[in-house]
Amino acid sequence: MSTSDSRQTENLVAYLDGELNDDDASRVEETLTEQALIRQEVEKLTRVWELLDLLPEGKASATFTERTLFAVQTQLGKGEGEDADTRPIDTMRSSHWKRRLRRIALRTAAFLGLLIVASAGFNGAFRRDTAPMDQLLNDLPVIERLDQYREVGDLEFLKALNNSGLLNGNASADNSTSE
Amino acid sequence: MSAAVATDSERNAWLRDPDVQRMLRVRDGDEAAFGELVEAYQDRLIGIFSHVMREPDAAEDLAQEVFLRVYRARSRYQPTAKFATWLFRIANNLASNRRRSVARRKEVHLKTTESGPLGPRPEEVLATDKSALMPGRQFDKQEMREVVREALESLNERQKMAVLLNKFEHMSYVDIAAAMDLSVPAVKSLLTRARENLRVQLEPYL
Repeated sequence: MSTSDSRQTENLVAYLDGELNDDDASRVEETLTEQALIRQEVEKLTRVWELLDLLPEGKASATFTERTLFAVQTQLGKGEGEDADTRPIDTMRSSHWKRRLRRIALRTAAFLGLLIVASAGFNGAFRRDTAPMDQLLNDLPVIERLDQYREVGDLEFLKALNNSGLLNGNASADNSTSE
Repeated sequence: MSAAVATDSERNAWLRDPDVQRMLRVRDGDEAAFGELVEAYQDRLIGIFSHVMREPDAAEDLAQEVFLRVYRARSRYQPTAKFATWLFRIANNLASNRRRSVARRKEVHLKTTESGPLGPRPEEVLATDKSALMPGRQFDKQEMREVVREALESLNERQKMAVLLNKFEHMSYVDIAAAMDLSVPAVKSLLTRARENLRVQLEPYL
């Protein structure tokens, strides 16, 4: 059902219940005059509402009044504890708002708490993770040539090889210089 | 209506409510006035409870509990609404609490149309047989009453309570809102959905 259909049905029901102001009621009546489908709808709603008259009426047992008044008499000797739902309507309404405000405050506090815990957890995890990442970045040039280094196996051998001049053409020059 | 501040005309309207006057007499120690209130409202409360609760036997117990609460509250009574609105507010809270405690005890009460783990019960088989005859058949009053009762059962608890207060207690949306701790637009919406649901359920029988 679309929003406008839903609003129209709400107005039809409110019209049937005598809950519309004069202007809204006039508008509904105009619609009813013009649209046969809406008239049918109203008729169905009315007939269904009338069917509820078939429901059995409540009937107290013969002894109910007597038993209730007796129960009340036995209450006389007891203290008059306050039942929350017997407070005056206005008081209950304001307490209802207080309850709602308290619920909202609790939910906000819980949400903020969750946010703090989550951000602390995220930061902790992120920091722990960045240290190894930095190390890996530093070691990247070595890692890229790791296979070659492994094949050589020994650093002293590399130094000796470098000094021997086999790896470049400066070996004799170096030797002569050193001499 | 303002939540906390009642206008003078509202207060005067409540004070003109004869049941508010009776309750004020109860507050002043008039036991007979309390008896009058019990007699005036006992059938109405039992009617509401027997439809709202799925435990017909509980209706009288709950109605009695409502009266006991009213009596216990007598010394603090302030007329801030019609007496019926206050009374059905107590009834609505009591019914809600009762439903919650029943749910906590996990007492599963099967509707007449719900089968148990052992399959359909004999009365369900009979009901199914009867419903097979439905199309075009004339329903007698008792059968139709059962159909309507099941349609009402199909509503959720809040829809049911709003319908009962509106239909049988002729309560305005404002009073239903006060009795059920809802806003007036919420009541309007609740009743519309309830009546739509009832129409869907009962239209084939019109």
